[in-house]
Amino acid sequence: MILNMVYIFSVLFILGFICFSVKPSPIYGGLSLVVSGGVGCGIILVCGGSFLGLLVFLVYLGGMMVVFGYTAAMAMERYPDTWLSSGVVWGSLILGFVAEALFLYAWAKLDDIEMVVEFYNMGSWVVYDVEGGSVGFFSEDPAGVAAIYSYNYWLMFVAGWSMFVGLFIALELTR
Amino acid sequence: MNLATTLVIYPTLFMGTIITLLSSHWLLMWIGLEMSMLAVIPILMGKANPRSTEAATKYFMTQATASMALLMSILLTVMHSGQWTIIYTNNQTTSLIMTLALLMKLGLAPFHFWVPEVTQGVCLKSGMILLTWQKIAPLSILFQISPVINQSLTLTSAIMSILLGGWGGLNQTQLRKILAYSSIAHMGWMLAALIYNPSIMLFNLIIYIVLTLSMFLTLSINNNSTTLSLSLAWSSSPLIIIIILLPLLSLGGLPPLTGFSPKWVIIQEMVKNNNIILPTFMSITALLSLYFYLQLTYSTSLTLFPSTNNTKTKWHFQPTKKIIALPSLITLSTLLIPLTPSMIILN
Amino acid sequence: MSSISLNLITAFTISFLGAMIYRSHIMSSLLCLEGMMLSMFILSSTIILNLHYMSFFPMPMILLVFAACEAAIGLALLVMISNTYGLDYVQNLNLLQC
Repeated sequence: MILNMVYIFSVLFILGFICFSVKPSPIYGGLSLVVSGGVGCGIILVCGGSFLGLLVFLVYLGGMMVVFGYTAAMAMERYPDTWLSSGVVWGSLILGFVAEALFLYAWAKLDDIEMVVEFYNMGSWVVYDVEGGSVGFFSEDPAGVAAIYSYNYWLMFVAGWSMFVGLFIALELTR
Repeated sequence: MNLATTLVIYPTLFMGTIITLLSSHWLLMWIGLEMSMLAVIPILMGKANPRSTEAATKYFMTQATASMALLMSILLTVMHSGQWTIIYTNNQTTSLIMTLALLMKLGLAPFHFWVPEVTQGVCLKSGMILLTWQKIAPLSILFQISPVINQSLTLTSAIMSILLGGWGGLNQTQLRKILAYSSIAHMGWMLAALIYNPSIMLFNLIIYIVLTLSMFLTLSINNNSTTLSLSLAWSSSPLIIIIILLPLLSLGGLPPLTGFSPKWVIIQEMVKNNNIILPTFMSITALLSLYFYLQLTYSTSLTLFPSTNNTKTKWHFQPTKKIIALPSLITLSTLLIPLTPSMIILN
Repeated sequence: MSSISLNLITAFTISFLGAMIYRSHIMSSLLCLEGMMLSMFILSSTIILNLHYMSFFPMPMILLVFAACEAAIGLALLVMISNTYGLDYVQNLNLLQC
């Protein structure tokens, strides 16, 4: 069994998920969701998607979590529930951790863990060579994401329209 | 809702369902579902009051969770087969999750609790959209994955829906809740037909939409929402007591009316497949639904509810609301039964 | 299936169960929805990166767009509810029960 970076990351990811799924006060829930988001960014980075990792970090954590934090702060109670304040919460938290530990143990017993990926590798970068002798690198995921402007334009229209309608609906609801 | 909002929301609602119907790519199909789900929220809200807010929130939470589960099953399909197009994979797990997510979106039996509550909280027009147009897209996905869905799960859910749809409506006095329970029962019939012959499911869907539309439009003449107000409707518009009789009995599935024909075709198809017990059970449980339709007919059309003298003069006034499509819908929901043999031949 | 994907699917299941629990704030349920979206984003990115599907790289972005739309509408509904009741407990939503 070889322990590698991404494996530890995914375990941390699950632990963060257990922390907010047992529903403490939204402040702490949002905190653990942010932690899992950061760890998830790490998972994508290790798998070689530097652009997608950046995207999830900036858009997800930078954009959405700020809004969530703001709304949670607006609906803040005097004494928010922590993980230790209610029996239901810490009971299910312990249950979740124990289940995850058993799951990891069973996985380690049953199967070896493959897919060793190192940090900072250049494996996902492709060397290009054009006429005239200029040579460089490009990574596949920015190029792939940029495909949304070429042959995926229909998808881009639909997504852009949905974004517009989403904003419109949110304003209409709170009017 | 003002004009600009209407011009943005309704096309999105329309477009979402159309995208789902037209696409063969899982992602676009999911996007279509999501768009129509997002666009129907302000329609459910209408003028904001606590009831409609609650209804919109409940609808949003169930539909968002269901579409997440649907997307997860799509991702599992992609992991398993590497394909984004809808082809028949033999992976039972993903099709199971997918079917469960779609059942949740449709409000079928184990997940049916949101349907009466959401329908009760919104106005009649929104309820009409909720119970007709919003059913089309998930049913079209079920239609397309029908060769691979799990048979016992689907049939169990169908039977439970028919039973609970009949059972839940028995003690209701609120018309929108009654219509929601009738929708659950009809969805159960459609799901049962899906296993044996998906085109019968489409036929049943069309008939169901026609019946529900005529029912809701008839109710919206006087904005009736309880059995009591409907039973006093004879004084203001006497025609309503005849009009409402026919779609109600047709929804119940009584023979000379349109509502009988899908039930007839479904039962025939099942018997053709040597399945006798299931249609017997289904038609017996359909009697539960028929009971509350008959109860409604009784209090509306077959008795004159006692009232004061003042209410009896209201029929002198012309009704202000003209509903253009209503006569043709009533005709369709009454007289379509001669089309049934052609349906049987087509199969 | 690698252990990473299995862990991500487990994370999705955990937050799905969290969204199903009928207690505490609506905000927590919305956070669980966001968590489901996040785990699916990571899962789809890792699938696509491992299989080198160049043409499907826009898919996580589209996912993110719809996550943002859902978050916006969920928060708008949350604001409406906390305007009405002063609190956002799910137990308050009991006007329409049978």
